[in-house]
Amino acid sequence: MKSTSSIRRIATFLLLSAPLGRAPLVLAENWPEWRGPNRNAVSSESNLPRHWSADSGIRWKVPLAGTGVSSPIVWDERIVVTATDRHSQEELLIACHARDSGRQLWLTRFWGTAVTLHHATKSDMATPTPVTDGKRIFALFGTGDLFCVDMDGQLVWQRSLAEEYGPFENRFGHTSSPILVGNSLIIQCDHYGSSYLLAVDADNGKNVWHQPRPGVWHSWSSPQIIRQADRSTLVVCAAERMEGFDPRDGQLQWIVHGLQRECIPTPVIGHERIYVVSGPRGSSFAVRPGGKGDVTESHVDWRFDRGAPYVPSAILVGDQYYLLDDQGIVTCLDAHHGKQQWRHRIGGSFTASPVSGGGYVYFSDDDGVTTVIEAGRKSYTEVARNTLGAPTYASAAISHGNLYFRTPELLLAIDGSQGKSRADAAP
Amino acid sequence: MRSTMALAPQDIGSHPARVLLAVVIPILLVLVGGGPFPAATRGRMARAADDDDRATQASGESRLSADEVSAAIERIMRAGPNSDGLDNARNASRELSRAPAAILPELLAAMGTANPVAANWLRQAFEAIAARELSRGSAGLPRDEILAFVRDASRAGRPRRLALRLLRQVDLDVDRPLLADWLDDPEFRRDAIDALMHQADEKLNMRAVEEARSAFERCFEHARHSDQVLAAVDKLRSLGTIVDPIPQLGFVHRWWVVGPFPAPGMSGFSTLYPPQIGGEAFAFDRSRIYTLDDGTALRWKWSESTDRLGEMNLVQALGPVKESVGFAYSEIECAEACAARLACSADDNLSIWLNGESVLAREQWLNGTRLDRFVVPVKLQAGVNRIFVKICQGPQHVNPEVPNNWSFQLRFCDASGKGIRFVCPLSNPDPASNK
Repeated sequence: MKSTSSIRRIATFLLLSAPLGRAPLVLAENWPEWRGPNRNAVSSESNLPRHWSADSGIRWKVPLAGTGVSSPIVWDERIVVTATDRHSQEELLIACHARDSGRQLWLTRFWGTAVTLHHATKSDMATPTPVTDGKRIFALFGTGDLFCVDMDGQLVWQRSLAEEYGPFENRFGHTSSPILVGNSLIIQCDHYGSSYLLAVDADNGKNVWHQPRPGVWHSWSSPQIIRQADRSTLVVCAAERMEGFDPRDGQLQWIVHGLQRECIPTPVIGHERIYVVSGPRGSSFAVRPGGKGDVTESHVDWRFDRGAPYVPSAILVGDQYYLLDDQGIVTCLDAHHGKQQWRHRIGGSFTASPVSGGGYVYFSDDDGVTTVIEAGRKSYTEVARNTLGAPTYASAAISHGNLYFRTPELLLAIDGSQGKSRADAAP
Repeated sequence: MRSTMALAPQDIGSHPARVLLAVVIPILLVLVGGGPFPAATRGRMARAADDDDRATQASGESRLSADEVSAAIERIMRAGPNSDGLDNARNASRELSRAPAAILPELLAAMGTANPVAANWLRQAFEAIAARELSRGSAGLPRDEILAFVRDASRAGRPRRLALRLLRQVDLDVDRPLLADWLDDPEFRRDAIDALMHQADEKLNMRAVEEARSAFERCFEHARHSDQVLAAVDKLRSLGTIVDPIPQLGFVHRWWVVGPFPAPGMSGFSTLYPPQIGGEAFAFDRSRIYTLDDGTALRWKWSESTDRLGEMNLVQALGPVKESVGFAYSEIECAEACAARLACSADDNLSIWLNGESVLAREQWLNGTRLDRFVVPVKLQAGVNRIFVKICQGPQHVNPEVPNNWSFQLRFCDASGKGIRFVCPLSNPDPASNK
């Protein structure tokens, strides 16, 4: 299945890129992890939906076996979602749905080790987004349990990190999504207990390295990776600091101080910089990776002191860096210099992080209203406001020409087709 | 595509021969076990057994002896940290997945293990067998044994609930007659209370007020989850019956409090303050006055929580301050010594001494006071027990919109969550003094 799909994707890629004579357009791209193929929430696809409503533009809508705040991930014909039961949160679910119809293909159930406190709506035990390499699915839950299943839902290995290293202690629940680096699955566990970073072998779950983080307070951010030919760097945002680690052994390489105490957003990578949101009412940074030790003074290219979100991650689209705060104010910065280009109040309350594709940026609020704007403009250019009719706390996924939303009850594929509003090409 | 879901409609075979086998095989399984049958019948049984073996093979099942099942479970039980024993556990789980449904009760019993990794490997086998059996029409399920497991309150809760879910896929109302007996069940209490509340509401709708009142009173008596307790309280109040959730859940809500002592930054937790020094915690003297460097005199003040769940609001009791420390003291009197659970929470840091012994100290900031956030086992002595609490208040949250909370909540309960019976011998000696 995978090879056939790959060939189809390549063929599509070639067909589309040849006549245009410019940046190639991609029709079908997987969304394999938190914030998509490059962990930056930007899809290479074009021809994405712009308009939809609760009763139009929806390709399919299916009930989920449980609730959750994790994002759906997409690989070829499959969409995978994690979930938990609504009341006890002791039941942990990994569900696989058919991408073309939404039909549930399989559902695997586990028990969690230690349920923690969590937010009433914005988090629960199924908040970390799973990750897949197309052969296996890796799912971490707030109960401190880590599972690897194959693409048919068969359990391959599992770890009870709560049993081994102590229960996760986090008043808002564990939200950090694991990242796959080579054949290592890396987990950031910053909490009230003994914080640590952990890399496990993706084949069998055994430790590759375990890096204790004494004195590190809890955070909710997900780790990021700077992939370089000679050496990659694992970037970790935490309370009052951002750190770079060698993903091969977990050794600290550099540190940047000055973040806020509560850190939730995931940094993004681009223009040879790391773009960091510091925390509520804090600064946003652009940092050049590299160096040794404390690089706060030497590697911070610019800071911007307004508009930082508490929960949503920021997004880098081309030369523009968009900050969306929790109250719906979007601040667009020049990504190279950190200068504000425009600022606009969309309104609403936001938990989900923005996504982008086809020249648009999508901002989805807690009420399920997605504001679509054109990317790359020097001023706020709204394209549409689309009401899904269900609360939306999870970030959307983009794949195969659709947007996929996960609400507390539903999984939806948005193609915009019934609304006669599909974008014909990227602007 | 294969399903590991307990009920997987897409796996249901539709061929008539498969349906027929699904009915015949369980009967044959019983017959081949021997019994009061004549030789001719046993001959037919032998041939049927051969057919059964072929059917078993065709269905993907494999026969495992009792020893083989036990050995496979044992291999799973040895699964340990850091994926130790992974290959053994995975292979054993897959072997068990192919076994007949007759092993389900044994799997359920094994799933009571405290090893979470082993429990999940066993569960995968259980779910696979159950899905296969349901796809055949469920005739092979050992329903009576599974139901007996569900009813056995001495078994672990999770596998009991798993077993019940399986039975409900065969008979949606299987637990309906059981709920009335589960008001004190460690696993199904909440379900039983929900059902009884629903029944009481129906009685109320039918204007059978006294029956409704009686049912709500039973809900109040048996409920342990605070939301259900408060729901019963409200229902009863609407019927003119007043019940108090404070003693029902064991909250301590009458306190002497003193503060605020200055604690710059977040220094309060590790700083010793006069109420902590010189045995003050163990020989409480409410007449003691603490004079701060700036000359402020701090006195013990009587404070009584008005919260339905006994939360003490120190912003109201001691002031809307930041970077401070407050202390609280109370006593409870028990008729006899007992083991108890001290369940507590605070915003921010919380330290508790019981009868002069430190029983909890948590330096956690921006906690929010959440019911039963921390639970520690304690022993209460017969007579008076002294409770001394230190609560730190941190700096203002970086977001000025975050409220300046400073509070704590504390209760003593048994393993089920029911409040320990005690009286608070303290009372406000001068009701006018705190006005």
